[in-house]
Amino acid sequence: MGWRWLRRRPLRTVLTIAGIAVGVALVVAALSVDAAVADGAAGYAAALSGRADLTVRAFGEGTLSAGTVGTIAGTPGVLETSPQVRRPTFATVGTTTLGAVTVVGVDPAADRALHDETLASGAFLASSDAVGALVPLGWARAHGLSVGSRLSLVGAGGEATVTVRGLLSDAGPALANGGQLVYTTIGAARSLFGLDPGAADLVEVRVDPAVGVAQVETRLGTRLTSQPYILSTAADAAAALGGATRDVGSGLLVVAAIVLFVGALLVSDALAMSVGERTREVGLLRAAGATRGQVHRMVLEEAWWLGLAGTVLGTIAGAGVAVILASAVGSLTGAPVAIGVLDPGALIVGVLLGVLVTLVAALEPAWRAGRVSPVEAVRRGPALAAPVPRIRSIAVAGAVAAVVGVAALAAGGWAGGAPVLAGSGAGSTHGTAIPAPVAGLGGVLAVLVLLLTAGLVSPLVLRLAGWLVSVVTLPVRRLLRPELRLARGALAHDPGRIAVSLAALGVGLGLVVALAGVAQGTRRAGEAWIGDVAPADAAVVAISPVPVDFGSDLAGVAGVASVTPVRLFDVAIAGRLASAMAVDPAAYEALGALTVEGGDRAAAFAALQAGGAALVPQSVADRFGLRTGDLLELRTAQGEARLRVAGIVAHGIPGTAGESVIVSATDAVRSLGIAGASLFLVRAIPGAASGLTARLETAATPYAMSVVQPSAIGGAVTGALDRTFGLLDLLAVAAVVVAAFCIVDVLAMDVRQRVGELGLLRAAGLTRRQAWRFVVVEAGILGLAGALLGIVGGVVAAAAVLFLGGTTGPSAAIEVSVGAVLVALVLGIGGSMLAALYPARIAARVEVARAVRVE
Amino acid sequence: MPPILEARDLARTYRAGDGEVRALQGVSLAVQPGEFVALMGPSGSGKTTLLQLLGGLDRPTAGEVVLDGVTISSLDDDAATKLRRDRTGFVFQAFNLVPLLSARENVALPFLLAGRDPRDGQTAARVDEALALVDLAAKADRRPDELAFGEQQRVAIARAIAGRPAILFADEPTGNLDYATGLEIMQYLFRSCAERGQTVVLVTHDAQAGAFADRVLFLRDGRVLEEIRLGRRAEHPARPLIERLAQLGQ
Repeated sequence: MGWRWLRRRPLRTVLTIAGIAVGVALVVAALSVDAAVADGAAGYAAALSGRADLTVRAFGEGTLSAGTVGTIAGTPGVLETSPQVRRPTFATVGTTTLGAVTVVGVDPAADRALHDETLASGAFLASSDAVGALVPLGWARAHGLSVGSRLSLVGAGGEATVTVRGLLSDAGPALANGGQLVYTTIGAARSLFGLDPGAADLVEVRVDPAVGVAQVETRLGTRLTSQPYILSTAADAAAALGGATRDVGSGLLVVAAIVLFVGALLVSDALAMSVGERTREVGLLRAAGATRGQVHRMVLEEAWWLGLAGTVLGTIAGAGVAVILASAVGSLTGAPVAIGVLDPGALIVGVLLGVLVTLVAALEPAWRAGRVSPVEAVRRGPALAAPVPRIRSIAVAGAVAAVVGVAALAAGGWAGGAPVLAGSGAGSTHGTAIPAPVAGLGGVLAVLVLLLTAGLVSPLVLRLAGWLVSVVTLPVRRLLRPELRLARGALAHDPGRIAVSLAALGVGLGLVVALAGVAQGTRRAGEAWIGDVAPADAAVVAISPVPVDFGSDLAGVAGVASVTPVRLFDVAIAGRLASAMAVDPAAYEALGALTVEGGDRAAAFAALQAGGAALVPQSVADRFGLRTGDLLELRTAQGEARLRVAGIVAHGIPGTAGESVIVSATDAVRSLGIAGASLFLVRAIPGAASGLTARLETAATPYAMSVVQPSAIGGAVTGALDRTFGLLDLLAVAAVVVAAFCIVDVLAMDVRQRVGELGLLRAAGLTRRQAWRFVVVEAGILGLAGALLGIVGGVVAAAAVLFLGGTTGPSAAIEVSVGAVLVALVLGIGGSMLAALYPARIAARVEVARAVRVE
Repeated sequence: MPPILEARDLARTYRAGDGEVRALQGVSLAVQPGEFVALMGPSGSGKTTLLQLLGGLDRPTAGEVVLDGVTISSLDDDAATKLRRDRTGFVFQAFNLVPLLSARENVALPFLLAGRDPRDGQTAARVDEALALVDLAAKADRRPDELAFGEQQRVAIARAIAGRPAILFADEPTGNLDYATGLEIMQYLFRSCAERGQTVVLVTHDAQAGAFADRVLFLRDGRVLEEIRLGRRAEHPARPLIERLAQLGQ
């Protein structure tokens, strides 16, 4: 019977199925992308690791001594080791700069025992080859290199020229660093970077399976006591790679869950309308002896068919969307993504969610159908059926949202920052300069609140929207008077009827506004942060530390007012990896940098100048439980320092492991063995900023340094952020599309239900064009109301997400993105009016003679 | 005086499955200004079809309808709609009021649809006058669902006459009402005719209602079978009509 009912209303059936399909497709795609990211990362990590089970890395900028390398090789359970020198530098061919490359110095025999590199052409390196190099094929092609080409490499030990002996196939370890690698023998690399004989930056280790990785890790822990180091497994490396894309994946999942939820609203609405339309029919069935249970089952059967069809279509579509999304995520984040991998788990979750959500959404309409009294229904007939309180539907749908949200969270495994590295010398943290784009739980909760509020305030918002439309259309009042009055009346007459559609539209548009708000908030917070720690007109960045004196060269560039050298480096605080920056306190203070929280900025800088003091960013203070006046122990490979916390600052420059602790350059050199500068903050003479970048580049490029905007430091604000949010926005539009289905359905049903009324209006003089405009104007008001709800809700949701994500302090204002508001208005009003075209056509075609005939 | 409404050789054929149904077959009639004409006949005789053709709600298969000097049957949909709006009023058995508008707004509907402001002085005066005629001035701001069925039909009559149309068409206006309320509605319709000179064309199968007319056209099988001239209501009782209808098999 349910199937027959569905066939009677093909438009509604198709729209509902499409709504579910869009939701399911996005959930399947998002889950598949998650799986593809994980698979890609694991595959990439496995390719990089080869047969190595562990990697022991020198801490910070130190090296592992020959003794340490020997100890590792001699540890029981270690089968094979391959020491490597791995450092960034610049490569040139003649006078042409090839850009940044990583020089990988290996012992060819030991390396090939752990990795299966293959050659595209040429030959492998011999252990004794001091001037030979291997380069990946892709990079070689990009720069016109071939076997026999000669490259110049610059290192701390001087400049070396190597000859390309072979081209590596673009697979395995040759994929690292985007393929920008130059393999040499370890001896050649040591002399290039001025390292001691026997020293290495890292040692790859193959473990005896009989002993086990964990056992060897423990043994290394007890034996390696002389130098700090970082120990990582292949799984750690995969997790680190996955971390970069996980945020995007989880964001996708949350958005997809919300789209599915809007789909659930559509199902609930479609079934509720269907039941409302068939009140008389249900009454007859009840009179003929159908039990409530049988009526419930009929509605659920209808839902089952809808859910099944939507889910099947959605799953198929999801597989296609997954491929597109996976490649988009891959290109956005630059992370390896296994495109084309369809996760069986994603399919199962998609199918279960699709059917389950549909059935749950059908519960309320089924319950209502069961309550239809035979007498009432037969007596009153469908045209006079009482308006239905839809707030309850929204509450039920809210529960569905909660289920979907929790499921999405469980499946997505939302985490702000995943542990990346493990080891005894330095603990594990993975600091990101920006927070996750959308806080999962916060996002779902915000949507839930928005939805419930939307349902409750929809009559009010509709009235407001109607009034607004009247005001806006004042100049054409005479032209549109009847349409406006009728549309406002229709919406005000039974707001419960369209509350669900309005809520769905509000959620979709709210998502667009919220995502834009979060993106803008994150960007602004990032800008404010960088403005606080690097208040400069330009930054000159070195690929590896350069002498501080280079600053005076830059100071000589025309238009430069001041140059402040900054040295970024890794430290260990209480055995955990952290970031630090060394500055000349007086110069840094003069730049106007740093906000000292609740303290005296001048005093803090004076203490830093005096030495033995550090300024700690709030996030680091929170992480290590530090307060002003506490003693802070910093360790590097070269030394350690006990510094007093002279002040807590709002932010530090983002480093590899979170925000940097600020120390004076003097302390850094004296106690921590850290010298030189890794970036120079450049201030321009007022009015001389134009062309400064070009002049700085002329001075910096010969030294392999690059000139960037301060905002690019630490990747705090990047184009990738915008592109990521762009992707999520695209998905949010999917929610609006599903909401538009809802509107088509509601208006089409409305027109059918009001055929008699339309007939009367037509008899009384309503022209076909006026009938058409009446429905379109009604949709426009509905769209405006949805947009208003979405804008307010979206801003609130964005504020909640930013607040939960900790991006902004209580003092930071949430900015409303004008663009997003305009998009929401255009999408809301335009989308609704577009959705109304078909129902409007039905309204315009109402045959008066037939409509006014009594059944 | 020329007739205000004239139909010549009207025919209307409907498609029904593979066959055709001839709802009207060559009906001609003329209605004088201020006249009250009732169309009566058994179910399926074509009386509602005839009313819809006369009022421009439907188009004849053959023949023509001239309403207030305009051949409405040859107008396109838009022009016919505007003519309806300006020169006719309708009262139906059901679907008479727009539920989302108040009684006053329902009465003002033809003005609203013409793009006029219902609060405008002259328009408002006409609306008030029409409401007063059906004794509903006190309930003008109520919504249809707050009014009794009889009151709803009275609002419908007020709406139909508010624009001072050339002709008022009423299709079974008492069909859903009990005897007493039906009689009351007919009295209001009659009042509009007697006091304001309103031309009325009524479709009914209720002899009590038909007896309010000056003239009754009796239809059967899509043709006018007989014309019964009754004269003004004040001058005759319902009984002769009832007897004649009984003879006709109604």
